[in-house]
Amino acid sequence: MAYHAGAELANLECYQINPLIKDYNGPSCAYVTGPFGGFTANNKGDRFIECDYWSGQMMLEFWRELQSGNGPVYLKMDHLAEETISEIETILHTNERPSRGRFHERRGNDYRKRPVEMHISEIGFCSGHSASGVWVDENARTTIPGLYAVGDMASVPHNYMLGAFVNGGIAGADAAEYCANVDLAAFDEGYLAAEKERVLAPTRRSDGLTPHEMEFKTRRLVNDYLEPPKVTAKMEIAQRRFAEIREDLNELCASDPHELLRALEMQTILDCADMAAAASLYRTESRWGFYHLRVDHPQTDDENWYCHTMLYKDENGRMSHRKREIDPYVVPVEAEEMAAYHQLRVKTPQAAE
Amino acid sequence: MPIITQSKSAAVVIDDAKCIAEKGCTVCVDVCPLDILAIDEGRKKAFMKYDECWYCMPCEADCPTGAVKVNIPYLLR
Ligand SMILES: Cc1cc2nc3c(=O)[nH]c(=O)nc-3n(C[C@H](O)[C@H](O)[C@H](O)COP(=O)(O)OP(=O)(O)OC[C@H]3O[C@@H](n4cnc5c(N)ncnc54)[C@H](O)[C@@H]3O)c2cc1C
Ligand code: SF4
Ligand code: SF4
Repeated sequence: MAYHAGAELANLECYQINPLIKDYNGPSCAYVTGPFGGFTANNKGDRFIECDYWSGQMMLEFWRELQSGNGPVYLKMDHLAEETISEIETILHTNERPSRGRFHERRGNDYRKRPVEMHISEIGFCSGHSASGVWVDENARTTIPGLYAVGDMASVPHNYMLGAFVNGGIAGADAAEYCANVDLAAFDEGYLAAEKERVLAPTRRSDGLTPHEMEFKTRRLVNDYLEPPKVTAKMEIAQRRFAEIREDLNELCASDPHELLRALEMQTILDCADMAAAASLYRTESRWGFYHLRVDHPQTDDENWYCHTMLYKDENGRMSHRKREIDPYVVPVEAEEMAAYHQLRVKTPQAAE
Repeated sequence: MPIITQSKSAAVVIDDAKCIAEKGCTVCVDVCPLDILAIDEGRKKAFMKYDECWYCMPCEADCPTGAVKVNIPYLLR
């Protein structure tokens, strides 16, 4: 929506990819178990990353472990005391994802006896857990005057709930001030009618393609061609296939309000797929570990790419890109601390001791 | 192309004997973030209409009579 309104989006090639429970849509969850002594381990039960906090570099080490003979990767808790495990269960099975206990129970997976198998999620755009999204300044203003963005969709890295709430407050205060000084904008009746027609078009057809199959196909192509490691030729195939799906949109059918919602969501997913491919092709280097691992541009190139990449719709409706300088850090970061990000692999594997 | 329908197993099960939709209850339909539950107008009972469940469980937690049971969908079990 923000893209179509003309707002610029930042660093979309910095995907969000998470370690999730294999086959279950939920984190495994190292954040909750970490403070209690649980940790991410390989099939030998050994730690292989220094820090379980999600990052592109952490995901790169996770992926390498999956590719090696040491996969799969697990969340290990079977070494913990009974009272610790019950406490973890109380948190994870009642709070974060209450069906989680049910999932483990059906597979006979008890934390006391077996670690939890983890896997790599699909890609997504989500600043809440990564660094990509609709570009905002420190007042949560987008590049369009009067349009604000906060939370998972705005370019404020790793903000989660706390960031969503805080930036929501900042945006609200600034927007109220902005509104006090402007009148309601005039709008084009013709544009409104055309938009209404676009939204309702799937309800006017009874023969054609369903939202479910069009969404499934789009997601399948994303997984086949856009998931890192990124390969230029594969991403170009994805772009051609997305264009074919876009042509098929005039066959999209919705037979009730629920399907209309899914039909609209499917179109947004297709937009995001196109943006993921275009943004990934624009940045011709590798950065952020697994999130932007380009096999044909494996080096990090600070000289040309230490910058934000901005994606936007130009005057001709085409997806375009430009670079944006990075503002000076408010709090200076020591070079040594910066380098810590790249040193996540445990140096002496326990097995070799 | 013509559109066909295909059978699926419903992971969310409603106990008709406990469901009081005929008295006007629509709690599970209202709380489902995925909009997949509905009231069968003929039988006046809630049912899983679309196979898009996220197993997030507010439907089960909020049903006033305990009529809803959320199972993990077969493909993920
Ligand atoms: C499994 C999981 C566990 C998490 N655990 C934690 C945690 O423990 N601690 C923590 O701090 N954070 C956690 N997070 C992150 C946190 O939940 C998110 O960062 C936060 O909820 C983001 O809030 P938001 O309002 O930006 O986005 P959302 O809550 O995603 O809200 C966006 C809303 O926009 C609606 N929407 C989308 N498109 C349209 C449209 N076209 N028209 C109208 N409406 C639309 C959506 O339906 C949705 O309601 C977790 C996230 C997940 C997925
Ligand atoms: S909340 Fe329970 S009682 Fe109410 S409609 Fe749903 S299943 Fe029936
Ligand atoms: S578990 Fe969640 S998604 Fe599934 S029916 Fe209940 S409320 Fe809806």
